[in-house]
Amino acid sequence: MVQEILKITGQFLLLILLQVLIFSNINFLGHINPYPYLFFVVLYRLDSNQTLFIILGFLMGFFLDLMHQTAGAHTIATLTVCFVRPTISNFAFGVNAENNHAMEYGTKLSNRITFLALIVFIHHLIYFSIAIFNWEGLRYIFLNTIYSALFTISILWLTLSLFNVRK
Amino acid sequence: MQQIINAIFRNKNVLIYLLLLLFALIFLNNRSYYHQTQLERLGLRMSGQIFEFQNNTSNYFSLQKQNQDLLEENRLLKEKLTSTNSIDTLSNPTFAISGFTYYTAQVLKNSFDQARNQLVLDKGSIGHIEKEMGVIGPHGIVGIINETTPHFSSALSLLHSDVRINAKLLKNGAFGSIYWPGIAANRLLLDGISTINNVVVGDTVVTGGMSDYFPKDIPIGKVVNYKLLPSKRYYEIEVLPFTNFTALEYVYVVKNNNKEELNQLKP
Repeated sequence: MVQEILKITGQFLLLILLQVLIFSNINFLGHINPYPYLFFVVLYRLDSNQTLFIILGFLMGFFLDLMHQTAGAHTIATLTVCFVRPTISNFAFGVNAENNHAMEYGTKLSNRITFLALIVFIHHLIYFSIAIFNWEGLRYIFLNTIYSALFTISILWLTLSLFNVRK
Repeated sequence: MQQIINAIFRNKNVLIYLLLLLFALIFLNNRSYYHQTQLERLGLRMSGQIFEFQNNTSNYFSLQKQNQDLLEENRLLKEKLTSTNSIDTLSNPTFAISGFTYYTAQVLKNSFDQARNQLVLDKGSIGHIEKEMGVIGPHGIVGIINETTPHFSSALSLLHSDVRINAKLLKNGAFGSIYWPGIAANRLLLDGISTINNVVVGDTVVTGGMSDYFPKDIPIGKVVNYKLLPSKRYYEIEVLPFTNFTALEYVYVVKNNNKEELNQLKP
């Protein structure tokens, strides 16, 4: 239990630091950045406390907003995606799936991709909608969402493949 | 009771989500001026549409009274026009007098029971309404435009605790500034009139020429009472406004065509 808490706290802080110091400064093709702090949302055990998860998601977004000097887009996007994650995992893995680590081997590849892609797309769509917040910017919102989401998904997928071991 | 607590526990995730979302929205609103304006505009657009609908229906029943008001106003305007000999402006719906352009607008929503009262008008930037234009009713000044969308605009009423307007007494031309102390919709205060001037109950208060928003000599109200301030150097004058703020239908929005030029001269 203690080990679990330490692991989550470490993960939480490390992801915020990595995001702020490295990934938000990539600016690929001018303005496309990945948001791999979503690792946290993807890796958090599916059977753990959902209330705590929502609060942690909120805190993560909040810290990122403070450090990026953005108004509140990270907070709202992360909070919402944490809140809807049970629905996403039910959709991706089926209601009676018995795995607690969503992204470990043992589940179907297509299920894992659906889960990851849905989380990333929903998060990015909300994030860019709030950051741009303008009807005239609708095209820009969609383009940014798609490019950044592809970027984020590839980073998450590659990292997961590196560290994942068959259990 | 037990059931209520159970329901709260069952939906605690939803409640926590909504609570945190609300917090995040407040955070967003406070941190970003851009988001704040956009949210305000959204609110204005929504309330504008609702009140337009409400107004369209209720307007129908007061047509008789409005027609009479309009007739009376037309009569006064015609009198003025003949005295200034600028007949050619009759063909123009917006007519210019001494550097000011007038646009007509209808009041969609009007509050008079709060500390900061606002009006919503049915014309916006498409109808040439801009920020900081003055708003005049049939009987006197009403307020100042503070926000516009393409089809609607909102104005700070004279009954807004943050609005102060340059005003003077008609008889002796003494300048002061007029504001609303709150409380009643039919009491304004005029201060800054020095005791070397003679104040008469019943004298008319009009706009002074020092305001950027309004032309000179637009009526505001009449003096009903006055008292000496403790310092014995200024009067505090109670003014009854000519405009009935609780029954506004049609207003004129005034644009000062020389404002930019004037601002260049000011320090």
